[in-house]
Amino acid sequence: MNLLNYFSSSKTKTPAVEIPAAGVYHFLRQTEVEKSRLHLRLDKDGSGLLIINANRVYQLNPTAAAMMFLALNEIPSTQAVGKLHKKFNAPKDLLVSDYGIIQDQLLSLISNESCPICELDLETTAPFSSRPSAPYRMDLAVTYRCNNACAHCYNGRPRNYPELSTEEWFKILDDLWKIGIPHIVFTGGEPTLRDDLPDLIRHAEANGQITGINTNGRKLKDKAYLQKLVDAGMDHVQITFESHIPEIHDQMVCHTGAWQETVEGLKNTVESNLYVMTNTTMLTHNKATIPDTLEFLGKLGLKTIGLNALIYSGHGSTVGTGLSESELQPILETAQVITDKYQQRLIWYTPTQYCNFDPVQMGLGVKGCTAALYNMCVEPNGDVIPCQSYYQSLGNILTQPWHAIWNHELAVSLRERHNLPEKCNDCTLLSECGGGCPLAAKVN
Amino acid sequence: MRILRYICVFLILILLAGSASPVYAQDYRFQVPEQAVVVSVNNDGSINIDYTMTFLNDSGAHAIDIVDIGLPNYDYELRNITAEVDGVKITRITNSDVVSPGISLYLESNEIPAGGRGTVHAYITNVRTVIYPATETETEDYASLKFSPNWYDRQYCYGDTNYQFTFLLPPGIKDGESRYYIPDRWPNSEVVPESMITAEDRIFYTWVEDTANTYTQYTFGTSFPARYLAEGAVVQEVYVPPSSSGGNSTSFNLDSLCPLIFCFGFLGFTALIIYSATIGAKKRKMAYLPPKISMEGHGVKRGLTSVEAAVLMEQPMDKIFTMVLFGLLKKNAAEVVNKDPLDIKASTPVPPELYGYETDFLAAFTEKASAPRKKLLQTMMVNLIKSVGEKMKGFSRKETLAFYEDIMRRAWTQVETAGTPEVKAQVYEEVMDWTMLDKKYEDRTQNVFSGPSVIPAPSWWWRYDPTFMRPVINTSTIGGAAPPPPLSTSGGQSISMPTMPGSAFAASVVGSVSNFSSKVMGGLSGFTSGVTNVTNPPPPPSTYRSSGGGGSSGGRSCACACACAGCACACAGGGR
Repeated sequence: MNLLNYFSSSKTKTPAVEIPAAGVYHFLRQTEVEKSRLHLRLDKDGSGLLIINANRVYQLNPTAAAMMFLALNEIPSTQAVGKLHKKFNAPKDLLVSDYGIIQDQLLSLISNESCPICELDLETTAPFSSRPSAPYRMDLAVTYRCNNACAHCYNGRPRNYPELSTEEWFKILDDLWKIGIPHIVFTGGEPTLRDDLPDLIRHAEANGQITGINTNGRKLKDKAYLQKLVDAGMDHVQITFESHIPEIHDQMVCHTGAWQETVEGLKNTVESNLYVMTNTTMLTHNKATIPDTLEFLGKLGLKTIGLNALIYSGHGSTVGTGLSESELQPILETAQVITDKYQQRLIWYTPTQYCNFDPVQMGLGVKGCTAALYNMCVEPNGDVIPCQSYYQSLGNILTQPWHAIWNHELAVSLRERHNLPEKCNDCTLLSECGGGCPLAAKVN
Repeated sequence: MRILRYICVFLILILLAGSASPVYAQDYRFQVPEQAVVVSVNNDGSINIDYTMTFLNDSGAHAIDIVDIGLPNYDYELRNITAEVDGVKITRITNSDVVSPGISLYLESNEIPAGGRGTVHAYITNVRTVIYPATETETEDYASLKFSPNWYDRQYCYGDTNYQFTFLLPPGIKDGESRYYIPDRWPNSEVVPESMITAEDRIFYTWVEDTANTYTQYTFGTSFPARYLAEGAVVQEVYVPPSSSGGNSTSFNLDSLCPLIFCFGFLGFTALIIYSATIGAKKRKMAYLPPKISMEGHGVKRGLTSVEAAVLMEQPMDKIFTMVLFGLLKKNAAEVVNKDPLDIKASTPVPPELYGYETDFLAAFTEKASAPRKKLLQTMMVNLIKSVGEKMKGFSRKETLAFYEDIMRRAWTQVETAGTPEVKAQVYEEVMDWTMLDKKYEDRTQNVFSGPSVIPAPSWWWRYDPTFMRPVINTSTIGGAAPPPPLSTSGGQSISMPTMPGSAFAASVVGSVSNFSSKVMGGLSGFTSGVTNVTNPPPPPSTYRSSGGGGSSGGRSCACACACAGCACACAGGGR
């Protein structure tokens, strides 16, 4: 007599027309020209989250959440209003009107043609002010093995760290789905070194989760292997690419010949229908080559480019090749010019202290630490850590209840930004900046 | 004896005898981090009870070796009970000698040691004589059930419990026919239970609460049409337990009465049912608040110029051009050489700190022919609108509009509350770009400067009106008519401003807008459509976008999209 069975059976076997209980629900909207995957996470209090393509998150009050569920199920207004009237104490004509608004807003949000804040007039809340019941994205470090050996790697664990079995990862994926996490990123180490990666992707996709991998791209030189991942349902790939100059790339990843394989992998991935982006860590080794590297990637046809600074964890905390935050701006200004030229999307990852480097002023968007808030990471042995680079266990997901992990003292501390530098206390940018990366603060 | 037994005895004494119980086994100390209870109602009126309880025993505490579970009455059979601890079958299940009615589960070699954790699952089927008539007024006969799951003495049990309680109703009940009652003592009684229809066509109600506990007695209730039960399934009389021992029953005493009273509703508790039904009917529907979608992002976009704010407010383009013109005149960047037709020339040298739209504006007026100038002005306006759109990405339009409307209101307040016409004129000159955002700008300007008063002309007015005399720079005071008050001083010099009637000034300012419209733009509507055809074109055919990872549109990331989700994956895979 398992309650969860009731939920899942109801979701899969009966028409989803009743306004449901807490849980996460997956919807696919596909036309001849457009495909969107939407997740509606309903919380116990009736409120909800609408997550579009795993990267746009909207908060819904209970009324909007109920209406959104019906709208996503394409329930006509006449039927929807009856259901809403049973749930809410409101006149039917008001429900008709409001349901119509939600239907229209849903279409606009999916189309992504408009800025939802400035053009749809959605209400805004302060950055990082949400307090979800679980992260939006879980990174699964399925192995710490790697066929590169980057001198600046943030990995702080031994390469031979114990690894879970395929079945155990299946269970974790199922558990993550049950707690409402719609987005899974397989990482490591090098996730393609796990032979069961296609199986894990397939399992997650069957749950309804969006999947992606963070990889050095070397195994993707094998088109057949890449096709396996595509066939399993993988949605996106992020490939680490340090320089357009082979020697610099190989030197940074400490593996001769890696560049060639990575570039072949990049080309194969660009040819696929996958959402693909690169990521480049800006260090003293490669900063001079970054403009040409971006030109190289532009010519390869990459649509999205990621840049980040050194992460002060693992080797990264001692390598000594990081750039100071004040050195970042000119490089990123150049990057903006080049990515504009190629009509690429530029994503800047690194949380910085805005007094040193303000990404908002540069039009790079709000960047702050989202560890233990919007994303977390599961280690190869099942331990949950706040993010991929913060190697302190919050508990093991196979043996400990989720709420104990989520509410671990460290998770709460990071989420609530308890340990900020004193100088940040009176800063007007604090809500957006959040004091930068906690790991950098530790080292520096 | 064993902890869970003592707990129930203790509660019986407290609740019924009103006296304190001696504390036994003080070394028992545990938490129940998770408990799930499912009560399924069968067609024959019996119920199945499913308990899943996770115990976390304190280090140094006594091992948990027997778990006693109270039952609603004696109308059950031991053969219908199965149980496991951590998945291992419990083979010894007896009637409890400390909780009556109730059962004892002997964990034996699988006891939960000090510091240990264990999950006990018990499944008790076919418990009868538990469904009673509901007293709530309905259009047909309703059956009702109330249930209080096990609870423990707070002295031994502590901490929050992730608690789920579920009623699973008989098959076939239609949506809207069943009822639930507000749980007694539940931490968040306002919360509506989760409810759905299962694949087996059964409605369930589930209350879920992270901050519940297992040392408080909660009471849950439900009712539904009696016709969904077999005939005779609804108990019409209060259940009287057997008076003699034997079988699975014990004698009728206070101990046995406790669970009966506190675990199930029956006729003797109709008042409670009526109360709950009345309150429940009001609360059964959630309060309606307008649907609201929000997202993380910036609020107000500060730092827009008045011209940019005017674009955001979708002010008429002739007014926006006039604002640009006045801005250039105030900066000494341009001079009107002819008002009809309007012609301006840039100052030499052009002040360095001009906005892009100002530079474009000046460039347009280097073109003397009307049509190409109009085209350049349209291009300037297109770029301005796009620029404002870029600046607004991630910021709230609504909040930003409110912010600049407030600036406009405060500007008017300053002007309108100024004490004298001279001061009004001075303040107006300082804030006129913001007052121009007002849709009633013309009327208010004329009202402010109505009447016969004479005001000093703005210091730049001569650059707007070629017929107006330039201000005189005084190096010493000269006799004669009193000059207007000096507006500014620099290096010991004062500038004596010419004066003009306030009404004439107002008329000229207001007229400047229509002048621009008719003389430069060649009519507002045609000019505007030439701009909006570019800034708001008909939607082009979409291109195929695959899912995942954050969309694929070009250009920089929108701040609002990046504040929160997938692409906010600060550090997602970087750094290696």
